Amino acid sequence: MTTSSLTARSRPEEARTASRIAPVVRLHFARRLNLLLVPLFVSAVTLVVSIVVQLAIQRAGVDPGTAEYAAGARQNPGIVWALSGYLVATGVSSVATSYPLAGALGATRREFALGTAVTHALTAVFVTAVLVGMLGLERITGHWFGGFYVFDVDVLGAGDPLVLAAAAFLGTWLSLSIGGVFGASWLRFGPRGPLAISVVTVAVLAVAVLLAVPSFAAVAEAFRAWWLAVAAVALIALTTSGTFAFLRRASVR
Amino acid sequence: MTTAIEITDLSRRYGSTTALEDVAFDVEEGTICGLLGRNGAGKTTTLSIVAGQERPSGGRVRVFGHDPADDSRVAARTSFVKDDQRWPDDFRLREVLAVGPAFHRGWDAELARSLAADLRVPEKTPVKKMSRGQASAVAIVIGVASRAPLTIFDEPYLGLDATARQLFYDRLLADFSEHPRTILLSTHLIDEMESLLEHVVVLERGRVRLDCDVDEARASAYSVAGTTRAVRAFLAGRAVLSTHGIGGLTTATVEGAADGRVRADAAAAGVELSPVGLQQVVAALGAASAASPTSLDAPLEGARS
Repeated sequence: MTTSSLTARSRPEEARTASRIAPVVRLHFARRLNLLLVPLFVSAVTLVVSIVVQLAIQRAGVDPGTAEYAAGARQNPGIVWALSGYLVATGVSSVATSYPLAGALGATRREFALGTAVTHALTAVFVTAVLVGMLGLERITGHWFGGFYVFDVDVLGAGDPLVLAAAAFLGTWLSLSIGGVFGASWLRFGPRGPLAISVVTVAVLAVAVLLAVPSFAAVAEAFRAWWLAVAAVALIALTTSGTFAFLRRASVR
Repeated sequence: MTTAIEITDLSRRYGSTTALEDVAFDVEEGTICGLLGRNGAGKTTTLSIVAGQERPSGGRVRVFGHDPADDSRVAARTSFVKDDQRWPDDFRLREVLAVGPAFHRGWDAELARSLAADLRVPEKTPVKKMSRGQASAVAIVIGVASRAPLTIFDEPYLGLDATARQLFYDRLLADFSEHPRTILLSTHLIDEMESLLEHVVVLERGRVRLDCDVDEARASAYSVAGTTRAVRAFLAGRAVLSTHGIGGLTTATVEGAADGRVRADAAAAGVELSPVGLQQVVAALGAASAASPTSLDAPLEGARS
Protein backbone atom coordinates (compact mmCIF):
# COMPACT_ATOMS: atom_id res chain seq x y z
CA MET A 1 0.00 0.00 0.00
CA THR A 2 1.36 3.44 -0.85
CA THR A 3 1.57 6.46 1.41
CA SER A 4 -1.05 8.25 -0.64
CA SER A 5 -3.53 5.44 -0.28
CA LEU A 6 -2.97 5.40 3.47
CA THR A 7 -3.63 9.12 3.61
CA ALA A 8 -6.72 8.77 1.49
CA ARG A 9 -8.11 6.18 3.87
CA SER A 10 -7.25 7.96 7.09
CA ARG A 11 -8.69 11.37 6.24
CA PRO A 12 -12.36 10.39 6.24
CA GLU A 13 -11.83 8.48 9.47
CA GLU A 14 -10.29 11.56 11.11
CA ALA A 15 -13.17 13.68 9.82
CA ARG A 16 -15.65 11.28 11.38
CA THR A 17 -13.76 11.46 14.66
CA ALA A 18 -13.87 15.25 14.74
CA SER A 19 -17.53 15.41 13.85
CA ARG A 20 -18.65 13.17 16.71
CA ILE A 21 -17.99 15.75 19.42
CA ALA A 22 -20.85 17.87 18.07
CA PRO A 23 -23.41 15.06 18.56
CA VAL A 24 -22.40 14.85 22.22
CA VAL A 25 -23.00 18.61 22.55
CA ARG A 26 -26.36 18.11 20.88
CA LEU A 27 -27.16 15.27 23.26
CA HIS A 28 -26.51 17.57 26.22
CA PHE A 29 -28.50 20.45 24.79
CA ALA A 30 -31.43 18.16 24.07
CA ARG A 31 -32.06 18.75 27.76
CA ARG A 32 -32.76 22.48 27.37
CA LEU A 33 -34.68 22.57 30.62
CA ASN A 34 -31.60 21.68 32.67
CA LEU A 35 -28.97 23.68 30.86
CA LEU A 36 -30.84 26.77 29.69
CA LEU A 37 -34.24 27.24 31.26
CA VAL A 38 -33.52 26.41 34.90
CA PRO A 39 -30.61 28.90 35.17
CA LEU A 40 -33.02 31.55 33.86
CA PHE A 41 -35.60 30.46 36.41
CA VAL A 42 -33.03 30.47 39.24
CA SER A 43 -31.97 33.99 38.26
CA ALA A 44 -35.58 35.16 38.19
CA VAL A 45 -36.38 33.60 41.57
CA THR A 46 -33.21 35.09 43.09
CA LEU A 47 -34.25 38.47 41.69
CA VAL A 48 -37.69 38.22 43.29
CA VAL A 49 -36.38 36.97 46.64
CA SER A 50 -33.68 39.67 46.76
CA ILE A 51 -36.23 42.36 45.97
CA VAL A 52 -38.54 41.08 48.73
CA VAL A 53 -35.70 41.03 51.27
CA GLN A 54 -34.41 44.47 50.32
CA LEU A 55 -37.95 45.85 50.24
CA ALA A 56 -38.39 44.58 53.78
CA ILE A 57 -35.18 46.34 54.81
CA GLN A 58 -36.41 49.56 53.22
CA ARG A 59 -39.78 49.28 54.93
CA ALA A 60 -37.92 48.82 58.19
CA GLY A 61 -36.78 52.39 57.79
CA VAL A 62 -33.52 52.23 55.85
CA ASP A 63 -33.27 54.94 53.20
CA PRO A 64 -32.37 53.34 49.82
CA GLY A 65 -31.00 56.64 48.58
CA THR A 66 -27.98 56.63 50.87
CA ALA A 67 -24.49 55.45 50.02
CA GLU A 68 -24.48 53.21 53.10
CA TYR A 69 -27.57 51.39 51.87
CA ALA A 70 -26.05 50.87 48.41
CA ALA A 71 -22.82 49.55 49.92
CA GLY A 72 -24.72 47.12 52.11
CA ALA A 73 -27.08 45.99 49.37
CA ARG A 74 -24.14 45.33 47.03
CA GLN A 75 -22.94 42.70 49.46
CA ASN A 76 -25.84 40.52 48.36
CA PRO A 77 -24.25 37.27 47.04
CA GLY A 78 -27.60 35.53 46.49
CA ILE A 79 -27.26 35.05 42.73
CA VAL A 80 -23.81 33.47 43.10
CA TRP A 81 -24.86 30.92 45.71
CA ALA A 82 -28.12 30.08 43.97
CA LEU A 83 -26.58 29.56 40.55
CA SER A 84 -23.38 27.83 41.66
CA GLY A 85 -25.27 25.21 43.65
CA TYR A 86 -27.52 24.42 40.74
CA LEU A 87 -24.66 24.40 38.23
CA VAL A 88 -22.55 21.97 40.25
CA ALA A 89 -25.53 19.60 40.44
CA THR A 90 -26.08 20.02 36.69
CA GLY A 91 -22.41 19.27 36.07
CA VAL A 92 -22.74 16.00 37.97
CA SER A 93 -25.89 15.11 36.04
CA SER A 94 -24.41 16.08 32.66
CA VAL A 95 -21.70 13.46 33.05
CA ALA A 96 -23.29 10.77 35.19
CA THR A 97 -26.57 10.42 33.30
CA SER A 98 -25.55 11.31 29.75
CA TYR A 99 -22.40 9.21 29.53
CA PRO A 100 -24.18 5.83 29.33
CA LEU A 101 -26.48 7.03 26.56
CA ALA A 102 -23.63 8.70 24.64
CA GLY A 103 -21.74 5.41 24.80
CA ALA A 104 -24.78 3.48 23.62
CA LEU A 105 -25.16 5.83 20.66
CA GLY A 106 -21.54 5.38 19.63
CA ALA A 107 -19.48 8.14 21.26
CA THR A 108 -16.07 7.25 22.63
CA ARG A 109 -15.02 8.28 26.13
CA ARG A 110 -12.73 10.93 24.65
CA GLU A 111 -15.49 12.32 22.43
CA PHE A 112 -17.88 12.40 25.35
CA ALA A 113 -15.37 14.19 27.59
CA LEU A 114 -14.57 16.75 24.89
CA GLY A 115 -18.22 17.24 23.98
CA THR A 116 -19.10 17.71 27.64
CA ALA A 117 -16.32 20.26 28.13
CA VAL A 118 -17.60 22.18 25.09
CA THR A 119 -21.16 21.97 26.47
CA HIS A 120 -20.03 23.36 29.81
CA ALA A 121 -18.22 26.24 28.07
CA LEU A 122 -21.28 27.02 25.91
CA THR A 123 -23.53 26.94 28.96
CA ALA A 124 -21.13 29.34 30.67
CA VAL A 125 -21.43 31.69 27.69
CA PHE A 126 -25.23 31.52 27.93
CA VAL A 127 -25.31 32.18 31.69
CA THR A 128 -22.82 35.04 31.23
CA ALA A 129 -25.03 36.60 28.56
CA VAL A 130 -28.06 36.30 30.84
CA LEU A 131 -26.29 37.88 33.82
CA VAL A 132 -24.78 40.70 31.73
CA GLY A 133 -28.24 41.36 30.31
CA MET A 134 -29.79 41.36 33.77
CA LEU A 135 -27.09 43.77 34.99
CA GLY A 136 -27.93 46.04 32.08
CA LEU A 137 -31.62 45.92 32.99
CA GLU A 138 -30.81 46.56 36.63
CA ARG A 139 -28.75 49.60 35.77
CA ILE A 140 -31.23 50.95 33.18
CA THR A 141 -34.19 50.61 35.55
CA GLY A 142 -32.42 52.31 38.43
CA HIS A 143 -32.03 49.00 40.22
CA TRP A 144 -35.48 47.67 39.42
CA PHE A 145 -37.19 51.01 40.12
CA GLY A 146 -36.54 50.82 43.84
CA GLY A 147 -32.86 50.48 44.77
CA PHE A 148 -32.71 46.69 44.65
CA TYR A 149 -29.24 45.21 44.12
CA VAL A 150 -29.18 41.70 42.69
CA PHE A 151 -26.67 41.68 39.82
CA ASP A 152 -24.89 44.97 40.55
CA VAL A 153 -23.16 43.42 43.54
CA ASP A 154 -19.60 43.36 44.86
CA VAL A 155 -18.97 39.70 44.19
CA LEU A 156 -19.78 40.26 40.50
CA GLY A 157 -17.74 43.45 40.04
CA ALA A 158 -20.07 46.04 41.59
CA GLY A 159 -21.66 47.00 38.28
CA ASP A 160 -18.63 46.57 36.02
CA PRO A 161 -19.96 44.47 33.10
CA LEU A 162 -16.51 43.20 32.16
CA VAL A 163 -15.79 41.94 35.66
CA LEU A 164 -19.26 40.42 35.84
CA ALA A 165 -18.75 38.72 32.47
CA ALA A 166 -15.42 37.25 33.54
CA ALA A 167 -16.75 36.15 36.94
CA ALA A 168 -19.93 34.67 35.48
CA PHE A 169 -18.16 32.83 32.68
CA LEU A 170 -15.38 31.39 34.81
CA GLY A 171 -17.65 30.73 37.77
CA THR A 172 -20.24 28.92 35.67
CA TRP A 173 -17.67 26.85 33.82
CA LEU A 174 -15.89 26.01 37.06
CA SER A 175 -19.12 24.98 38.79
CA LEU A 176 -20.09 22.70 35.90
CA SER A 177 -16.56 21.26 35.72
CA ILE A 178 -16.49 20.54 39.44
CA GLY A 179 -19.80 18.74 39.10
CA GLY A 180 -18.47 16.94 36.03
CA VAL A 181 -15.42 15.55 37.78
CA PHE A 182 -17.57 14.33 40.67
CA GLY A 183 -19.89 12.62 38.19
CA ALA A 184 -16.97 11.05 36.32
CA SER A 185 -15.41 9.79 39.56
CA TRP A 186 -18.74 8.20 40.47
CA LEU A 187 -18.89 6.47 37.07
CA ARG A 188 -15.35 5.16 37.55
CA PHE A 189 -15.33 4.22 41.23
CA GLY A 190 -18.95 4.36 42.39
CA PRO A 191 -19.67 6.21 45.67
CA ARG A 192 -16.01 5.89 46.68
CA GLY A 193 -15.02 8.31 43.88
CA PRO A 194 -16.82 11.46 45.07
CA LEU A 195 -16.01 10.56 48.66
CA ALA A 196 -12.28 10.33 47.91
CA ILE A 197 -12.32 13.65 46.03
CA SER A 198 -14.11 15.32 48.94
CA VAL A 199 -11.67 13.96 51.50
CA VAL A 200 -8.62 14.93 49.44
CA THR A 201 -10.03 18.43 48.76
CA VAL A 202 -10.75 19.05 52.44
CA ALA A 203 -7.30 17.76 53.40
CA VAL A 204 -5.55 19.97 50.83
CA LEU A 205 -7.54 23.03 51.92
CA ALA A 206 -6.82 22.32 55.59
CA VAL A 207 -3.08 22.01 54.98
CA ALA A 208 -3.11 25.14 52.79
CA VAL A 209 -4.93 27.14 55.47
CA LEU A 210 -2.63 25.93 58.24
CA LEU A 211 0.45 26.78 56.19
CA ALA A 212 -0.91 30.19 55.15
CA VAL A 213 -2.17 31.35 58.56
CA PRO A 214 1.11 33.03 59.62
CA SER A 215 1.13 34.98 56.36
CA PHE A 216 -2.57 35.83 56.16
CA ALA A 217 -2.05 39.54 56.67
CA ALA A 218 0.58 39.75 53.96
CA VAL A 219 -1.48 37.64 51.57
CA ALA A 220 -4.58 39.74 52.21
CA GLU A 221 -2.65 42.92 51.55
CA ALA A 222 -1.14 41.62 48.34
CA PHE A 223 -4.37 39.99 47.10
CA ARG A 224 -5.58 40.99 43.67
CA ALA A 225 -8.89 39.98 42.07
CA TRP A 226 -7.17 38.49 39.03
CA TRP A 227 -5.74 35.83 41.32
CA LEU A 228 -9.24 34.40 41.48
CA ALA A 229 -9.47 34.32 37.68
CA VAL A 230 -6.15 32.50 37.43
CA ALA A 231 -7.22 30.08 40.16
CA ALA A 232 -10.52 29.47 38.36
CA VAL A 233 -8.75 28.75 35.07
CA ALA A 234 -6.36 26.38 36.85
CA LEU A 235 -9.22 24.59 38.59
CA ILE A 236 -11.18 24.30 35.34
CA ALA A 237 -8.13 22.74 33.72
CA LEU A 238 -7.65 20.41 36.69
CA THR A 239 -11.27 19.28 36.92
CA THR A 240 -11.64 18.86 33.16
CA SER A 241 -8.45 16.78 33.07
CA GLY A 242 -9.79 14.78 35.99
CA THR A 243 -13.01 14.12 34.12
CA PHE A 244 -11.00 12.87 31.12
CA ALA A 245 -8.87 10.66 33.37
CA PHE A 246 -11.79 9.11 35.23
CA LEU A 247 -13.83 8.47 32.08
CA ARG A 248 -10.85 6.92 30.33
CA ARG A 249 -11.12 3.79 32.47
CA ALA A 250 -14.85 3.92 33.20
CA SER A 251 -17.17 1.23 31.90
CA VAL A 252 -20.37 2.33 30.19
CA ARG A 253 -23.03 1.22 32.65
CA MET B 1 -16.81 -12.54 3.13
CA THR B 2 -15.15 -9.97 5.46
CA THR B 3 -14.84 -10.55 9.15
CA ALA B 4 -16.57 -7.84 11.21
CA ILE B 5 -15.67 -9.10 14.67
CA GLU B 6 -12.57 -11.10 15.60
CA ILE B 7 -12.17 -12.26 19.18
CA THR B 8 -9.12 -14.19 20.33
CA ASP B 9 -8.28 -15.43 23.85
CA LEU B 10 -10.60 -12.85 25.39
CA SER B 11 -10.78 -12.77 29.15
CA ARG B 12 -12.49 -10.48 31.63
CA ARG B 13 -12.13 -10.66 35.38
CA TYR B 14 -13.87 -8.65 38.09
CA GLY B 15 -11.68 -9.06 41.13
CA SER B 16 -11.57 -12.75 41.86
CA THR B 17 -14.55 -13.48 39.58
CA THR B 18 -13.80 -14.62 36.06
CA ALA B 19 -16.54 -13.55 33.66
CA LEU B 20 -14.82 -14.59 30.43
CA GLU B 21 -11.92 -16.98 29.81
CA ASP B 22 -10.22 -17.80 26.49
CA VAL B 23 -13.23 -16.70 24.46
CA ALA B 24 -12.62 -16.82 20.73
CA PHE B 25 -15.01 -16.50 17.80
CA ASP B 26 -15.49 -14.49 14.61
CA VAL B 27 -18.57 -12.85 13.17
CA GLU B 28 -18.75 -12.30 9.44
CA GLU B 29 -19.85 -8.93 8.10
CA GLY B 30 -23.49 -8.74 7.06
CA THR B 31 -24.70 -11.64 9.20
CA ILE B 32 -26.97 -11.98 12.20
CA CYS B 33 -25.19 -13.80 15.00
CA GLY B 34 -26.88 -14.97 18.17
CA LEU B 35 -24.95 -15.00 21.42
CA LEU B 36 -26.65 -17.60 23.55
CA GLY B 37 -26.20 -19.09 26.97
CA ARG B 38 -27.52 -19.13 30.49
CA ASN B 39 -27.71 -16.12 32.80
CA GLY B 40 -24.20 -15.22 33.93
CA ALA B 41 -22.59 -17.00 30.99
CA GLY B 42 -20.82 -13.79 29.95
CA LYS B 43 -23.04 -12.62 27.09
CA THR B 44 -23.48 -9.00 28.16
CA THR B 45 -19.80 -8.70 29.11
CA THR B 46 -18.83 -9.94 25.66
CA LEU B 47 -21.24 -7.54 23.95
CA SER B 48 -19.95 -4.62 26.05
CA ILE B 49 -16.35 -5.38 25.13
CA VAL B 50 -17.19 -5.72 21.44
CA ALA B 51 -18.96 -2.34 21.62
CA GLY B 52 -15.94 -0.77 23.32
CA GLN B 53 -18.00 0.02 26.39
CA GLU B 54 -15.88 -2.18 28.58
CA ARG B 55 -12.20 -3.12 28.48
CA PRO B 56 -11.02 -6.72 28.46
CA SER B 57 -8.58 -8.10 31.03
CA GLY B 58 -6.74 -9.95 28.31
CA GLY B 59 -6.93 -11.20 24.76
CA ARG B 60 -7.53 -9.50 21.47
CA VAL B 61 -10.72 -8.01 20.04
CA ARG B 62 -10.96 -6.44 16.61
CA VAL B 63 -14.09 -4.82 15.22
CA PHE B 64 -13.85 -3.75 11.58
CA GLY B 65 -10.12 -4.28 12.01
CA HIS B 66 -9.69 -1.99 15.01
CA ASP B 67 -9.49 -2.38 18.77
CA PRO B 68 -12.97 -1.19 19.85
CA ALA B 69 -11.80 0.23 23.20
CA ASP B 70 -12.31 3.97 22.76
CA ASP B 71 -11.77 3.91 19.00
CA SER B 72 -14.03 6.38 17.26
CA ARG B 73 -13.76 4.44 13.97
CA VAL B 74 -15.52 1.57 15.70
CA ALA B 75 -17.78 3.56 18.02
CA ALA B 76 -19.15 5.65 15.15
CA ARG B 77 -20.28 2.46 13.41
CA THR B 78 -21.72 0.74 16.47
CA SER B 79 -25.09 0.87 18.18
CA PHE B 80 -25.53 -0.90 21.51
CA VAL B 81 -28.35 0.00 23.87
CA LYS B 82 -28.13 -2.30 26.88
CA ASP B 83 -31.06 -4.10 28.42
CA ASP B 84 -30.52 -2.05 31.60
CA GLN B 85 -29.61 1.15 29.75
CA ARG B 86 -29.47 4.28 31.91
CA TRP B 87 -31.16 7.35 30.49
CA PRO B 88 -30.91 11.06 31.31
CA ASP B 89 -33.69 12.04 33.71
CA ASP B 90 -35.93 14.00 31.37
CA PHE B 91 -35.18 12.20 28.09
CA ARG B 92 -38.34 11.33 26.21
CA LEU B 93 -38.99 9.78 22.80
CA ARG B 94 -38.75 13.22 21.21
CA GLU B 95 -35.19 13.72 22.45
CA VAL B 96 -34.22 10.21 21.33
CA LEU B 97 -35.51 10.87 17.83
CA ALA B 98 -33.76 14.26 17.82
CA VAL B 99 -30.28 13.08 18.79
CA GLY B 100 -30.27 9.73 16.97
CA PRO B 101 -29.48 11.20 13.54
CA ALA B 102 -26.61 13.21 15.01
CA PHE B 103 -24.84 10.02 16.03
CA HIS B 104 -25.67 7.67 13.17
CA ARG B 105 -25.27 8.63 9.54
CA GLY B 106 -27.60 5.90 8.39
CA TRP B 107 -30.39 6.89 10.79
CA ASP B 108 -33.80 6.55 9.14
CA ALA B 109 -36.06 9.09 10.83
CA GLU B 110 -39.22 7.80 9.17
CA LEU B 111 -38.43 4.23 10.18
CA ALA B 112 -37.78 5.38 13.75
CA ARG B 113 -41.09 7.24 13.94
CA SER B 114 -43.13 4.41 12.45
CA LEU B 115 -41.45 1.78 14.61
CA ALA B 116 -42.02 3.86 17.74
CA ALA B 117 -45.67 4.24 16.78
CA ASP B 118 -46.10 0.53 16.00
CA LEU B 119 -44.45 -0.44 19.28
CA ARG B 120 -46.65 2.11 21.05
CA VAL B 121 -43.81 4.02 22.70
CA PRO B 122 -45.38 6.82 24.78
CA GLU B 123 -44.27 10.26 23.65
CA LYS B 124 -44.63 12.24 26.86
CA THR B 125 -43.26 9.79 29.40
CA PRO B 126 -39.54 10.12 30.27
CA VAL B 127 -37.77 6.94 29.17
CA LYS B 128 -36.49 6.52 32.71
CA LYS B 129 -40.07 6.19 33.94
CA MET B 130 -41.29 3.89 31.17
CA SER B 131 -42.27 0.31 31.81
CA ARG B 132 -39.73 -2.43 31.07
CA GLY B 133 -41.38 -3.19 27.74
CA GLN B 134 -41.64 0.44 26.70
CA ALA B 135 -37.96 1.05 27.47
CA SER B 136 -37.09 -2.07 25.45
CA ALA B 137 -39.11 -0.63 22.58
CA VAL B 138 -37.07 2.59 22.69
CA ALA B 139 -33.86 0.54 22.55
CA ILE B 140 -35.24 -1.36 19.56
CA VAL B 141 -36.13 1.89 17.79
CA ILE B 142 -32.55 3.11 18.22
CA GLY B 143 -31.01 -0.20 17.20
CA VAL B 144 -33.09 -0.70 14.06
CA ALA B 145 -33.32 2.93 12.90
CA SER B 146 -29.62 3.63 13.44
CA ARG B 147 -28.70 1.16 10.69
CA ALA B 148 -25.29 1.07 12.35
CA PRO B 149 -22.86 -1.23 10.52
CA LEU B 150 -22.58 -3.14 13.81
CA THR B 151 -25.87 -3.27 15.68
CA ILE B 152 -25.91 -5.03 19.03
CA PHE B 153 -29.03 -6.07 20.91
CA ASP B 154 -28.87 -7.43 24.46
CA GLU B 155 -32.07 -9.34 25.15
CA PRO B 156 -34.04 -6.69 23.27
CA TYR B 157 -37.45 -8.22 23.94
CA LEU B 158 -37.53 -7.85 27.75
CA GLY B 159 -41.02 -6.84 28.83
CA LEU B 160 -42.41 -6.77 25.28
CA ASP B 161 -45.71 -8.49 24.61
CA ALA B 162 -45.91 -11.24 21.98
CA THR B 163 -47.29 -8.90 19.31
CA ALA B 164 -44.55 -6.36 19.84
CA ARG B 165 -41.88 -9.05 19.77
CA GLN B 166 -43.14 -10.41 16.45
CA LEU B 167 -43.31 -6.89 15.09
CA PHE B 168 -39.68 -6.37 16.10
CA TYR B 169 -38.54 -9.59 14.43
CA ASP B 170 -40.43 -8.77 11.23
CA ARG B 171 -39.23 -5.18 11.02
CA LEU B 172 -35.65 -6.11 11.82
CA LEU B 173 -35.58 -8.82 9.18
CA ALA B 174 -37.23 -6.60 6.57
CA ASP B 175 -34.81 -3.75 7.20
CA PHE B 176 -31.85 -6.12 7.33
CA SER B 177 -32.81 -7.47 3.91
CA GLU B 178 -32.77 -3.98 2.43
CA HIS B 179 -29.83 -2.68 4.45
CA PRO B 180 -27.57 -5.58 5.41
CA ARG B 181 -25.29 -5.00 8.37
CA THR B 182 -23.69 -7.04 11.10
CA ILE B 183 -26.07 -7.79 13.94
CA LEU B 184 -24.95 -9.41 17.16
CA LEU B 185 -27.70 -10.20 19.64
CA SER B 186 -28.14 -12.08 22.85
CA THR B 187 -31.38 -13.85 23.57
CA HIS B 188 -33.02 -16.46 25.75
CA LEU B 189 -36.06 -16.70 23.45
CA ILE B 190 -34.24 -18.98 21.08
CA ASP B 191 -37.28 -20.61 19.48
CA GLU B 192 -38.73 -17.19 18.68
CA MET B 193 -35.57 -15.74 17.21
CA GLU B 194 -34.09 -18.84 15.62
CA SER B 195 -35.33 -17.88 12.17
CA LEU B 196 -33.40 -14.61 12.36
CA LEU B 197 -30.07 -16.20 13.18
CA GLU B 198 -27.44 -17.40 10.74
CA HIS B 199 -24.68 -18.12 13.22
CA VAL B 200 -24.69 -18.91 16.93
CA VAL B 201 -22.11 -18.73 19.68
CA VAL B 202 -23.06 -20.45 22.92
CA LEU B 203 -21.28 -19.31 26.06
CA GLU B 204 -21.21 -21.29 29.28
CA ARG B 205 -19.44 -20.09 32.38
CA GLY B 206 -17.46 -17.54 30.38
CA ARG B 207 -16.22 -19.98 27.75
CA VAL B 208 -17.35 -20.70 24.20
CA ARG B 209 -19.25 -23.98 24.21
CA LEU B 210 -20.48 -23.88 20.61
CA ASP B 211 -19.58 -21.68 17.65
CA CYS B 212 -21.16 -22.62 14.33
CA ASP B 213 -23.96 -22.01 11.84
CA VAL B 214 -27.49 -22.57 13.08
CA ASP B 215 -27.90 -25.70 10.93
CA GLU B 216 -24.67 -27.14 12.31
CA ALA B 217 -25.83 -26.31 15.82
CA ARG B 218 -29.07 -28.19 15.30
CA ALA B 219 -27.14 -31.12 13.90
CA SER B 220 -24.66 -31.06 16.77
CA ALA B 221 -26.98 -33.07 19.00
CA TYR B 222 -29.89 -35.46 18.80
CA SER B 223 -32.58 -36.71 21.11
CA VAL B 224 -33.11 -40.29 22.14
CA ALA B 225 -36.21 -41.66 23.88
CA GLY B 226 -37.33 -45.02 25.17
CA THR B 227 -37.48 -47.10 28.29
CA THR B 228 -34.97 -46.06 30.92
CA ARG B 229 -33.19 -49.39 30.63
CA ALA B 230 -32.89 -49.17 26.83
CA VAL B 231 -31.81 -45.56 26.87
CA ARG B 232 -29.24 -46.26 29.57
CA ALA B 233 -27.77 -49.01 27.45
CA PHE B 234 -27.68 -46.81 24.36
CA LEU B 235 -26.05 -43.90 26.19
CA ALA B 236 -23.12 -45.87 27.51
CA GLY B 237 -19.95 -44.15 26.39
CA ARG B 238 -21.79 -41.29 24.69
CA ALA B 239 -21.63 -37.57 25.55
CA VAL B 240 -24.96 -36.95 27.26
CA LEU B 241 -25.98 -33.31 27.59
CA SER B 242 -29.22 -33.78 29.51
CA THR B 243 -31.74 -36.40 30.55
CA HIS B 244 -35.38 -36.31 31.57
CA GLY B 245 -37.14 -39.24 33.16
CA ILE B 246 -40.86 -39.85 33.70
CA GLY B 247 -41.83 -43.18 35.22
CA GLY B 248 -40.05 -45.87 33.29
CA LEU B 249 -39.38 -43.68 30.28
CA THR B 250 -36.32 -41.50 29.66
CA THR B 251 -35.45 -38.89 27.09
CA ALA B 252 -31.88 -37.73 26.62
CA THR B 253 -30.08 -35.16 24.51
CA VAL B 254 -26.80 -36.48 23.21
CA GLU B 255 -23.95 -34.47 21.76
CA GLY B 256 -22.84 -35.45 18.28
CA ALA B 257 -24.34 -36.14 14.86
CA ALA B 258 -26.98 -38.81 14.40
CA ASP B 259 -25.01 -40.68 11.74
CA GLY B 260 -25.57 -44.19 10.40
CA ARG B 261 -23.79 -45.89 13.26
CA VAL B 262 -25.83 -44.00 15.83
CA ARG B 263 -29.04 -44.93 14.02
CA ALA B 264 -27.99 -48.57 13.89
CA ASP B 265 -27.15 -48.56 17.62
CA ALA B 266 -30.50 -46.94 18.37
CA ALA B 267 -32.36 -49.57 16.38
CA ALA B 268 -30.44 -52.33 18.15
CA ALA B 269 -31.13 -50.80 21.58
CA GLY B 270 -34.81 -50.25 20.79
CA VAL B 271 -34.77 -46.49 21.34
CA GLU B 272 -36.17 -43.75 19.15
CA LEU B 273 -33.99 -41.00 17.66
CA SER B 274 -35.22 -37.51 16.77
CA PRO B 275 -33.60 -34.23 15.74
CA VAL B 276 -33.44 -31.36 18.22
CA GLY B 277 -34.12 -27.66 17.86
CA LEU B 278 -31.60 -24.95 18.60
CA GLN B 279 -33.24 -24.14 21.93
CA GLN B 280 -32.98 -27.77 22.99
CA VAL B 281 -29.28 -27.82 22.09
CA VAL B 282 -28.56 -24.65 24.04
CA ALA B 283 -30.63 -25.77 27.04
CA ALA B 284 -28.87 -29.14 27.02
CA LEU B 285 -25.45 -27.51 26.85
CA GLY B 286 -26.41 -25.32 29.80
CA ALA B 287 -27.67 -28.35 31.72
CA ALA B 288 -24.46 -30.24 31.01
CA SER B 289 -22.44 -27.26 32.20
CA ALA B 290 -24.48 -27.03 35.39
CA ALA B 291 -23.77 -30.68 36.16
CA SER B 292 -20.41 -31.94 37.33
CA PRO B 293 -17.58 -31.77 34.79
CA THR B 294 -17.43 -35.55 34.70
CA SER B 295 -21.09 -35.87 33.79
CA LEU B 296 -20.39 -36.22 30.09
CA ASP B 297 -18.47 -39.37 30.83
CA ALA B 298 -20.98 -40.57 33.39
CA PRO B 299 -24.36 -40.37 31.71
CA LEU B 300 -27.49 -40.63 33.81
CA GLU B 301 -25.47 -39.97 36.92
CA GLY B 302 -24.65 -36.29 36.90
CA ALA B 303 -26.28 -34.92 33.79
CA ARG B 304 -29.88 -35.07 34.92
CA SER B 305 -31.89 -31.86 34.59
